[in-house]
This record gives sequence, structure tokens and C-alpha cells, in this order.
Amino acid sequence: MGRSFFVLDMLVGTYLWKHKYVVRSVLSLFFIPIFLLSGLLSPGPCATDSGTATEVRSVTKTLSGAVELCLDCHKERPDTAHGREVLGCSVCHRGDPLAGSMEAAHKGVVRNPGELRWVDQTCGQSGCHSKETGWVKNSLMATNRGIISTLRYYWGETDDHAEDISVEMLRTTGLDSPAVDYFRKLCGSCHLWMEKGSLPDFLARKGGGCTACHHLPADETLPKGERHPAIVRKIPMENCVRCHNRSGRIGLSYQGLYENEGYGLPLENGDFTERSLEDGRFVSVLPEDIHHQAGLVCTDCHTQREVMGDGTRHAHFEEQLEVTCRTCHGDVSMLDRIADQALREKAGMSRGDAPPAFPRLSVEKRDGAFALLGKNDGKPHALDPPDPIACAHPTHKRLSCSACHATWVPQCYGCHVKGDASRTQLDKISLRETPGRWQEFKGFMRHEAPPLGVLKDRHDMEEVVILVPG
Amino acid sequence: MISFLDGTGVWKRDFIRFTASWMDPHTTQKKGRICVECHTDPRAIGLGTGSLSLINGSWAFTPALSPLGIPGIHHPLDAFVSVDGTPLVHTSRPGLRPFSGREIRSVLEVGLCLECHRDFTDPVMKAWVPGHPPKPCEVAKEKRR
Repeated sequence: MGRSFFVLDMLVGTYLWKHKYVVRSVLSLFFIPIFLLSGLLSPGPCATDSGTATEVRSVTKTLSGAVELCLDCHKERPDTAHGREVLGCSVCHRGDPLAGSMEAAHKGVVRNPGELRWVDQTCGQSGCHSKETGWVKNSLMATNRGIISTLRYYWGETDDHAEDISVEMLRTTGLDSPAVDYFRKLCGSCHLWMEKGSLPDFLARKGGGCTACHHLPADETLPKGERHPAIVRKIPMENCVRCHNRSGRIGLSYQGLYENEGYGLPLENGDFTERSLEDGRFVSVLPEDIHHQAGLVCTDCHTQREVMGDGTRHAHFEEQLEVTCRTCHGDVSMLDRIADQALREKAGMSRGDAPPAFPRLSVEKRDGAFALLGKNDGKPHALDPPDPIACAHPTHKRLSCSACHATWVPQCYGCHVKGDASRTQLDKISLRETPGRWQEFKGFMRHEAPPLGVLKDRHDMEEVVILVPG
Repeated sequence: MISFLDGTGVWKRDFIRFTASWMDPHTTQKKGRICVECHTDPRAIGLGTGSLSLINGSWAFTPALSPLGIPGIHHPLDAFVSVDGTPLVHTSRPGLRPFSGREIRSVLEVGLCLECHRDFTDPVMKAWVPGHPPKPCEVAKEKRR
């Protein structure tokens, strides 16, 4: 009789998945007694000779009363927001929570629910994070739109510096050109469509869709069977730097790490440096960013809308930014509004589905002074106004803050790329070895005296900014 | 520079273009660069490493590095612009450019005064109105000769 129940269960599996919350609770009222009775009549808990259970031994349910047979075998404990007793396993990992055999239950299971390939059925399913996954799929981190179009613009393949070519488009259409092939082979590992673990070595830790950022390793103090990665809102800096450490080297520079030339310059105490990154690049220590020194992480300034996008198909990162230095340092009326918004949101007075009117920064106003609360540690950081003379002097009106306050910048001169059609290389988008191998060389590196130039924005406002080669 | 090798591994052609982009380096310090670090340093202006001189009222720049010596690039790698304001680089955005000749001259003019009037604590600097520099003093006149 137990077997008959499982056949019936498999037949209606599709229907159950679509209406899982309601149906599973209703089913539990009717079938649990039958199921338990079947257990009495059948030979008992099913187990292999080795002792590993392959069929369920008891009817397990979530707190809402939904049958979730996965919990009978799986004892992993995710974070509290995704608690096993609340969601069970199948809401995120799919599979069939009503199937009684391991094989049937694991059909369609996904190891990493955050992968963009199936995120609409997992994190982005209705009732969970559908809005956010929609934004993310359009974001620059998922599309790499800016990188691809800039490369093609640099390489003289297009006059349009804002083409709408995405990683997903490369994946599905096979679109190629010398610049695109270079992207596929050297840049293609750092985007959110990259499935975690599909590349070798340190590259295996990149990508993973939502979990590229919202992932913390499992708590090692838990018993082995209960370990489960945590899905978090507090993004540790390491998760950002895992990708943001090349090109402009922002993730390294922020921490005071400068990628040096690595061929034996006496860079530390008159001796060769021993510091290197996981990919083998040598680094030396320079003054860290003052915000890093104060304990601020990337997401303290780079808001959800900047990072995850807002659904708009921006071409470049500067179009996606909503926070500048002046947001926190100088514009008191803006700070007032941001602090008021933060207070309202804290009190549960949200704007529903409407996007926040001002950047969602954790700004607090106390005794007339503003402070930014660290997103991850809650520590207050005083938001000082800029120097009223040097910064506010009319002769410096066009200067960006970083033109003066960023005292060093990695400058890689003499970028030389070799494309060898006689060899092959892994295409990191298609995950296939294809003809053409790209190799990068450089002339020399410098970090001092950041060169300046002028950027005219889309409103025709000119700003003096830092220029770097490349 | 991109070198393309054919199916037998033999050089076929080069694509040569020197480009510059803009960025916020994320190396912010509380104390910014002091005045002379921009107004008298040719590297900060985009000229590259070398020596600046004012001869008969005109600025001249002698680069410290040799020109690259490859077709299409006849300047040192660290030069983004010539002292007369001719851009030497392509840029990552249509609205991005190195300083113009007029801007370079303005920046360097201020540098001439910084030896005596060191920063904004000095009344001359504090009263400087954009586009209307103060009348050159005797020292400044001497320097311009």
C-alpha cells in the first residue's frame, strides 16, 4: 500500500508543485493517516544494506503543516530566514517533497538555488524574491553589458560604446568577434550567470547567481549533517572582492593592496614581497581607503539599487550609481531625507513595491549630526562635511572628490594582448575549449600621482576625474 | 596593442591603440593631495613623467621616458596629452578627455604662485576668482620671463 501511495504521488507531482503550499497542507490531512497505516503494514523503514535511507521513514512537515518528506533525511540547518522548519528543502532546492523514494524525491533537485538558470523557480518564485531576481538579471553584474561594449569599442569593432550585448546573449547565440572571444576566454568568469563550481581552481568560487553575493560558508561548529551555507543580507566584502579585483583593482585598492609587478622588486623592508593573491599575483601594502579603515564594507555605500539594478538596462556602471561622496559629505538636505526614509523603513512604514525615493543608506540623525550605520556591524560613522575652504572654493568647483582625495591609483601601462589562432583556450561562457588563445602582457605598473582629465556627463556637466590607462 | 597570430602561430597583424578610462580608485584619504601635487606635477596633469619649463611665457615639457617607438604611438606610455593640449589617447567614453591646452596652462599658472602662496590659508589664493587670476606680482613676472 505504501508503494501505491508513492505511484499516485508521482502522477500528481506536477500539480502538487504548482500548488504546493495549499495542496501539501490539504494532502497531509488525508494522506498522513493512510501513509502511517501503510507504514504499519509494510516491512518498516526502508533502508539499504549500508544503512543509508533511500525511502522515507516518517512523515515530516514544515511549521505550516505542509508535508516535506525531505526533512526526514536532510538535517541541514540554513539561516533563520530560510529555516528548515519554515520552508523545508524543496521550496528552494526543488525536487519532489512528497515522493517517498530518494530517486523520485531528488528528480529536478538543484544544488544551488541561486543560479540564474533556474532562479525564477527558486529564489525568484512568486511570494519570495521575484522582483529582485528580475532586477538582477538586467544588472551589469549579470549582463556584463558595459564590459563587452567597452571592449568592442576599444578594439574598434563598434562606434557605439553602449551596445546592448549581454553574457546571456553570448551564451545563447554564440555571437563572436575578436573582442568577444577575448571576453569569453579572459573575462567571462566574473558574471552572475557563471555557475559556481563549473570552472577549475580558484575560479570555481566565482559566480552562482544570487549566492555569488548572498552566501556565507556553513558554520563549521555544527555537526556535519546539519551544515548548510547561510543566505545573508549582510554581504561580506570578500564576496565582492572575489570578482572586483582586476581591471581597476578597486577591491584590492580599497583594502590598501596594490598589485605590483611581481618580478622581485624590493618592495617590503628592502626584500621581496611575499604577499600574493589566490591567483598568484603579488601585492604590496599601500594606504587603505579611509572608509575601509573605519570598517565600512562595499554595500555600505553601494546600495541594493546600484548593485542589483533597478530593472533598467543601464549600459555602464556610472549610470547605475545613486550614491556619490557628496551624498554623505556635503548635501545636508539630502542626508535629512535619507535619514528620514531610513527611520520610516525601520518603523515598518515601507512604500510597498515602490522603489525608495532616496538612496537606501543607513543614515541616522542624532543631535543634529548625521552618522552612517555600518550595514554589517551597525557601528556609527560620523558623516563629516568637506573642507569649507579647499573643497568649496569656486576654483575647485569642477573637481570630483577623488581627484584630490584618492592619493594613489593602480596604473598599468603598455597593455599588450596576444591572440594566437593556432592554440585553444577554455571559453568560460560556453564552457568549451575553442580555437584561439589570448594572453595578456604589461609594460610597467605605477601607483603614484593619479593623472587627471575631464568627463562630461549626460547632463553636459564637466567634472575633473582620475584617468588611468586601459 | 593586440597582436594577432594566425593558425600556424605566425604573426599576422597588430591593432594598436592607446586608451584611457576614468575611475574612482577607492583609495580615499582624509587629507587630499596638496596644491603642488597637482599644480606642479606633470604626471597629475596627464603629461607623464618629465620636466616642465616656462620659456618666454610658453610651457615646454621634456618627457623622462622614451617614446614607445611603435607605429601609431610616438610618445611615452605615460603621456595622455601633450603640453599644448593635443590628446594622445583614445578614451572609454565619448565625453572623456585629457585636459585641454587652456586647462593645462591654467593649472600650471597656479603652480607658479604656490611657491610663495602655498594654499588656501593664503589671502591671495583664497580670493582667487575662477577665470580672473590676480594680477601677477613681481615674483610671478620674473618667473614668466
